[in-house]
Amino acid sequence: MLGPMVQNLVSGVLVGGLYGLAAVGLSLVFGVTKFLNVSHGELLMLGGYASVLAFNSRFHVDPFLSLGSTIISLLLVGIILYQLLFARMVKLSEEAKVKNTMLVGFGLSIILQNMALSLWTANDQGITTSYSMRALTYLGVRFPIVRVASLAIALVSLLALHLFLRRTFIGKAIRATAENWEAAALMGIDIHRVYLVAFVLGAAQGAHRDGPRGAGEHSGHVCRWPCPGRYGISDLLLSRGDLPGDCWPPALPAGVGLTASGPIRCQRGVAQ
Amino acid sequence: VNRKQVGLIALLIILLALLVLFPRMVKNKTSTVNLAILVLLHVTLASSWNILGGYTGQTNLGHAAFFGLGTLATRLLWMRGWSIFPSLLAGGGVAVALALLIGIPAFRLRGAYFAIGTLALGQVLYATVGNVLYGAAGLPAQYLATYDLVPRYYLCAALAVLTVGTTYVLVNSRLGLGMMAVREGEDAAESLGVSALRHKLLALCASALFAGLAGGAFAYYHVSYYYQFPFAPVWSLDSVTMAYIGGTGTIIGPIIGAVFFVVVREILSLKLGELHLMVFGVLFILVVLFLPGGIVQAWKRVQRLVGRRSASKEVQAAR
Repeated sequence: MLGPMVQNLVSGVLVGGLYGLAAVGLSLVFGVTKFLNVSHGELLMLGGYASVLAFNSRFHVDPFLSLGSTIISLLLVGIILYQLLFARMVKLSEEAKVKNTMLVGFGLSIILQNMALSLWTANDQGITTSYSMRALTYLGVRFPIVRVASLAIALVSLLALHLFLRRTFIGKAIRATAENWEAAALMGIDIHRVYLVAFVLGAAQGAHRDGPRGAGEHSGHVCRWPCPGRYGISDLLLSRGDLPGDCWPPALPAGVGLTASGPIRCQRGVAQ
Repeated sequence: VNRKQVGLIALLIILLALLVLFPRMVKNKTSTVNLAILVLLHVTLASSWNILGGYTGQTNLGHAAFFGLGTLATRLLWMRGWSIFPSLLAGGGVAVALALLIGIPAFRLRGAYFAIGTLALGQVLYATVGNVLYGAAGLPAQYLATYDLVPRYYLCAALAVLTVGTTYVLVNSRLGLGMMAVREGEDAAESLGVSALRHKLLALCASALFAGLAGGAFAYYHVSYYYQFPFAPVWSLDSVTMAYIGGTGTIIGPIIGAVFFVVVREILSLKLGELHLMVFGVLFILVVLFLPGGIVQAWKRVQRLVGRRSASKEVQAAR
């Protein structure tokens, strides 16, 4: 009786940590820029597809190795989206900004979902490596290697983000802008640059998360296209975007929430 | 009553007569009436979204939840042997019940939380209905034997007229003024004694009622569909898109938006298949960024431009 419960708890924590990472990206964007990017989940999906494409290419790049290129491609996507769409809404009042970015994100999510559908079909995509099925066993509880490694990468990237925000000059500028963009602008901070960096960092956090995750789902439901919407929303609900300077708080409720819901879903085996 | 108003009323009467006579006038009956039913259903959806989204300023990204619940209640009761009108009313009633359930807690929060909450609500119901009621809702043989398109058409037409008419009466009443005051500034409205919560709730209930009734009409009209289908996010997106393309916060905007949307969608889906959704995604973003008042705003701009030009010509002629 206790065995399965502990197992479920471990699985929940391992998945929940990854959700937490996604929430951090979103929370960073929302906290600093007040852009409510409801297409965040679709950006995660793009991260997932980038590593699937790398794996299915001629070179069979391992998802953990292609992480670098995945991050760079998501950085580019973030820059393009910011310059094309979001830069126009920087100077709006906060209420109008939240509403308009939300609507634009809503349209964007439809575009990205249908783009993914037509480019890569509605079929489930998976990455099956030689180590996909392996797990470490400790006291009878199994720790799937891929999940553990993904979580480790997630934690490292969280730490890196934390140090970036705390120790670098641009990190300081980001935190200042989050507190009060007008005051920050008066102090000579280039708001556009700060917004761009925050937005792009947020987008790239998605790459960390969904990239390696691909390897874990050996049965292959990595990039199920309806999922991103769900990720986006659950992340949104969990991350309140209150504390952009500290990236830890949003990760915690996300992880805990999924720890609780994870086992239920595992046991019932309910899709979606 | 001045001349302009008489003209407007005459135009309205002509439009209503056209709406009534339409099924007798068309040649290629089945496909044309089907298209008309789709247009009218979408007019109802867009106008009902507009009551809350356009006039009260609360963005509902899960309109499909109310629409879907309406289809579900109506279809299940109707299949149990209820006649269609009580089933329809039940569909609307269930949607209002959900609106109250969601609205009371959600409207205590401000800003984007209502939008996020409704977005999640739509997804939750979509997934849940898909898991619980998998399979299709097909009509049994005795229902099919008496199936006739014309009464469905009149139901949808009546519903569209009722929705637009109610919106008109509502926004010209004290309650409607309160709703618009809440949209322009909650604090200012509250300071004048307008209860933001009550007005937002009222708008949500009216919006949900007509969405639920539209769902009931859909359940009455469609022969076979998956129970999950009316809950699909695309219904929410369509409602928002139509209202924005036409012009939110106006009576005529959602009607224009719905006609434009359905006709363009039918043409595009013939040519592009599933890709037509991407086209509407792009169009929606463009409208939000560059033309927040939709077609109505564009029309007003053109009018003003033409007016200015003719005015300057008059000035020149006078010289």
